[in-house]
Amino acid sequence: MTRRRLLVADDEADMRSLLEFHFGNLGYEVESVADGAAALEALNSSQYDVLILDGLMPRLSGLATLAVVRRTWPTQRVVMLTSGIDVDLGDGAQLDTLGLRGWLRKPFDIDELTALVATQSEAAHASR
Amino acid sequence: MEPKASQGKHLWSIRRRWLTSILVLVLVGGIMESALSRWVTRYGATVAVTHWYTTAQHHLIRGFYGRLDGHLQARLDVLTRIQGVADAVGAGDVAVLERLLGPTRTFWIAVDASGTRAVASDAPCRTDASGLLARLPLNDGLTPIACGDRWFVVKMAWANRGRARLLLGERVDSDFVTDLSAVLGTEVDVFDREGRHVQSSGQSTSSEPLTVALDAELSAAIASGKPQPAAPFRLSMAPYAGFGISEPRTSRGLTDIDVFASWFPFGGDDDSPLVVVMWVPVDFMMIGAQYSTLAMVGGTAIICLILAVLGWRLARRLARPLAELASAAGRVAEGDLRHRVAATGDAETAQLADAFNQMVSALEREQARVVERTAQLDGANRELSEALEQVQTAQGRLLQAGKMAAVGTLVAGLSHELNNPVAIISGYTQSLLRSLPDDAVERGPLQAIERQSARCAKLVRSLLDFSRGRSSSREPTSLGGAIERIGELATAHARRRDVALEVAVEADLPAIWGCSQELESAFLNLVTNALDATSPGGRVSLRASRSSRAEGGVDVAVSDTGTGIAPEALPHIFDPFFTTKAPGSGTGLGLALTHQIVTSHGGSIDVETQVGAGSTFTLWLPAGTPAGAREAA
Repeated sequence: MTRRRLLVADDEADMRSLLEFHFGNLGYEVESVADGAAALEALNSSQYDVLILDGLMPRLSGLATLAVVRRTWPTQRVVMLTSGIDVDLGDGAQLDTLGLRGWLRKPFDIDELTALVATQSEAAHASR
Repeated sequence: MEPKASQGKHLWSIRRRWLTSILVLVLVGGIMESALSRWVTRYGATVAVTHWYTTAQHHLIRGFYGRLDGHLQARLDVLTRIQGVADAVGAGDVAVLERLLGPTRTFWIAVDASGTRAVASDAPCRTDASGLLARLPLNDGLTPIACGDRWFVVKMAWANRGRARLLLGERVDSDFVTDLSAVLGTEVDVFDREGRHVQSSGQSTSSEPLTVALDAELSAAIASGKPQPAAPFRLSMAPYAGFGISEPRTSRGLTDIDVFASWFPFGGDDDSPLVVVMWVPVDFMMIGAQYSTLAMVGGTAIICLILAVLGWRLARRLARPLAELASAAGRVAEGDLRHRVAATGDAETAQLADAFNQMVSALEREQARVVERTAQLDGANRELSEALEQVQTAQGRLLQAGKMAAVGTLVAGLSHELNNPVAIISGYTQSLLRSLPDDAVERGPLQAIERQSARCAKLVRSLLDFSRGRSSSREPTSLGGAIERIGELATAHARRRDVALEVAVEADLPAIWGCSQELESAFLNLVTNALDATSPGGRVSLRASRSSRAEGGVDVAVSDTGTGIAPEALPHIFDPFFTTKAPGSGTGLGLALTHQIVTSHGGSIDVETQVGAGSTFTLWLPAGTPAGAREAA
């Protein structure tokens, strides 16, 4: 079985380390970048099952990155982690428009995130 | 309503009535007093003189006569036994008779048995013996007789066994009258029936012959008076028509004293040809004056009493309209403004009554106006207090909103800053826990870190919810379903706490423009709080009903039978982080969030609470689509 590949885009180094550590332990291949622009570059050069996107990042924010990802790679699975202030998650319509399949609010439950990422990556893998 | 002009004409002026009353009183009093004084003067004096003084005088004069009578009788007793008196009379022997019959002062007459021959001691009588015989008295009483211009008082007796009659007497001369005067204590005059003066008393010092001017009345009385025989002393008064007193007069120029005259028949016989007039000094009238003073005082008192009764009746008649006015004023003062008085009585009182009536009418109108104005004022006051209440409510809401805005900004920043650290801490902890073997010693500490970071995560999430404010999507929402879901959610909690939970939803509630998740969260907060505040065995109810407000909407009421809210805590219950729960068991954001949700839906929260009895939170949510939301869409 090929390893599921995750791309983590988060400006917080400890958060990137946490996700690398956690999903690495679970057998994922995890790459991480510090902002949205770097994430787009990484997506452009490689293929990932799930993009874990922080909502608030320098240079290109999570939502802006998501918008580009939706247009460029419409099938890309994205899990968004929001701190609630960067994106109005109460407005489900906006996220639906952006084709977001899954999102969590920080601070998140690691098991929830694990389940969400697992679901998304299996779906991505199945559609591929 | 112009009684001044119409009634004033035919009504008596009170001044005229007073004046007339006083004049009548003065006139009646004057006439009565005048009559009284006349009566008292005359009758009082008369009573005094006639009853006391003249009675005494009468007794004295009778005593005088009695003594004279006795004296003459004693001498006659002796003389009548002397032999030879009859012989001497028969012989006309005056010398013998004079020697026999005594002293010169004594007047005597001797008459023979046949009555044809008389011998007298005085010359005038001797010269007119036959005339004398004609005048001789037949009885043996004292009798005045006259010889020429001389008067004598004589007593008769038979001598020598009926052979002769002897008359022995005394001349009514100055000494005689002086003696009488001394006995009576007053000056006396003796008159004959023709009013001729006979003799006066007390003139030994006067060189002039005594002349007494009797007034016509007295003279006539003496001349023609027929004394009554019943009571001697009253007989003398009879000619004076019961009063017996003449006016005071100056008599005789002797001492110029004022006297009253009173007269008596001379001797014991009322038909006596001589009368004695005694002159009573005015001083004696003092008795009468005292008597009359008494009568005057008594009479005056009676007159005063009569006048007082009369005056009182007059005054009462005058005062009656005023008394009626006073009573009417009393009734008006007690609040009977419909009372009126009849405009009767005198012109002034009628005017007064009329003015009074007008005043009371004005008062009545004024009172009606006051009542009306008071009602208006009351209404205005009510409106004012309602407005004030609204202003206070609005102020409270503004204050709360301001607080919320400030807190929201703070919390938003804070929670965002906390998000990542908490996420990283809890993430690592959870990740480590999943990867560690079950018997690892680090598991306990890591689990503690997980619990505490989960608590932090929960707090941060709540803060985020709170700070996010109105952000949710709004749509027509039926509250019935939300309420029932909350009821189901809270049932387990209620069972654990042994509290009865009642849920009631009115049918056909109007739809609310809102977010059902937020509203559910708000309801759940309230129900959770209510369950936490209620002791086992208590009761919590959640009811949704059509609001009674004019603008409609839905009321959602959460009631408990719990501890209630302390008055000092009440102003702060919607403040963020304010909690009365034990540390760690409440975030202090539940009610703040509820408040924010409700206000962001355009609704309001009211709290009724009583310490120890429980609280009721009533949420009001407006129905339909808010105007603002419609514009935005």
